Amino acid sequence: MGDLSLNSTFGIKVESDPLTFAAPNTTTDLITCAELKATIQGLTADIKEFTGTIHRRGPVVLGSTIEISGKLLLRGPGGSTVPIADALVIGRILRAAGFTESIVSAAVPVAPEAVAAGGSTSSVTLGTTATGTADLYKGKMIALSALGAGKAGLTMVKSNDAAKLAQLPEVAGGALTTGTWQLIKQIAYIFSNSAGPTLSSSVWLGKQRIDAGGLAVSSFKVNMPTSSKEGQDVPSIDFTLTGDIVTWADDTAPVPAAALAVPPFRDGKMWVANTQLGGSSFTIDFGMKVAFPPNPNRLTGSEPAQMVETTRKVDLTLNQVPLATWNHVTQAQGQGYYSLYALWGLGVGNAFGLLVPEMRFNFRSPDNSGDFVTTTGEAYIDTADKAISLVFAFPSTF
Amino acid sequence: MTSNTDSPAPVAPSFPAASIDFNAVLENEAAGKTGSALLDGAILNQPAAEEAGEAEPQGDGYTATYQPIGKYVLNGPGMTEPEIFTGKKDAALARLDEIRASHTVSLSGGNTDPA
Repeated sequence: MGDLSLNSTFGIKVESDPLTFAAPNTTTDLITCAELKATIQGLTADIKEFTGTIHRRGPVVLGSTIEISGKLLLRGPGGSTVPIADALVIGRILRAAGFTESIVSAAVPVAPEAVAAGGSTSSVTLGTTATGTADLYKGKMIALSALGAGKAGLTMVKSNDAAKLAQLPEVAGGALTTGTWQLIKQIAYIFSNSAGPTLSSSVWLGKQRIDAGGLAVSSFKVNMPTSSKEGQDVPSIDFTLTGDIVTWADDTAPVPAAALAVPPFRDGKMWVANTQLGGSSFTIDFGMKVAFPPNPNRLTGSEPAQMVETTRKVDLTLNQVPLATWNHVTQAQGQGYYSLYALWGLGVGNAFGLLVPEMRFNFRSPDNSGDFVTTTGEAYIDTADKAISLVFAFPSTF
Repeated sequence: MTSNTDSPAPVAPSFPAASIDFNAVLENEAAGKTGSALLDGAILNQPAAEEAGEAEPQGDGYTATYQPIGKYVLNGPGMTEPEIFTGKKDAALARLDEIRASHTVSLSGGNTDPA
């Protein structure tokens, strides 16, 4: 009987100490994962000894490094109650990648309240309950009744000042000076300046389990394909974890709980530079790099993996539109900062918002190789703190 | 026009890559707290070993014991009562070092020359 590839599962847990393996629970710490791989790299030194013949010895084997990679499809936990801290398993990878898990378990204010005067078509002055600490709401999702009901009314905060004026990534039909606002229930994963915790992982491939510890995120990419008639794909996160093997054992793969349907990226919102645009996809690549500080006191000769660098970049493939609608040429020439906002979902607890408050465009290139002319190009996220936000949304209606 | 007596508007700090209770952050803000004090009692999740309320022995009788949520009980020889510290583990251990230093008596008679 062969070992079946489909009998593969993945579990992860946050470590308190990168040198101490934290065994994932075979029920609560599992997550369904596509394209799951465990790649072990043997570390060797080519010693080039002379043997008195033309035949060299093989290299010295020094140890190994494990890379665990996969694709996590973006789906929410469902329900109307926001999960408690650390309960969303995907959130552990986001935290390890440097995101804060910011939990709004109760909407604020409890009932939507009137917005204040002073807003424009792309900004709103939050009401009495809102606080005046600048950028405290940055990256959070709010509901504005003036934008519409359900998903139409959901937007995200690019920035807010001490006068409670919140800048938005979209443009309303009229000045946002009437109606109500509310900070909805949500778990917002907001990128931070901090290094994230390391992870322990168990990977079952067929009937064997590999435990790995001291895992740092070495690659992280958010994929946002439009789920269209031409492109059949769904939003996901590609990740790679790098660390050390702890145990390799015979063990039958446990079965993770059945998960909700994956929301496609359609019937939602996409605003680029405060302009509503169409396109086939965008991605956010975090350009992460890990390294192992050398230390002969350690079993492996190295300290555990450590994230040492990120360079954050957005790639957008967009439909060509009149320059009068969106002048990407002048935006690239001016090297100013512009936002990116996406909203999609299937219902309360399975809805998402993604915001990049400030990115800087490189020059874009037209592409007429397909049926429609598109433009492709990159944008750069120069800052880190609150510079990328992925919200799992629990609005009252969607 | 600004003057030297104007207070700069508070700005949200960079939050750690941990789980935080944003409702608690807003309550702290409403209570007038700013900067890192916005996180007082708002850090919901520390890594697994700390959740268990496990002591962090320092090998000399001093301990830092995690107490949910986001607090440590610091204790050791010479302390009349434990000290409650709110914040992250690294900061708690740094505070424990300060306490230890304040209670440690030099036995070398002040001669610190290793030779």
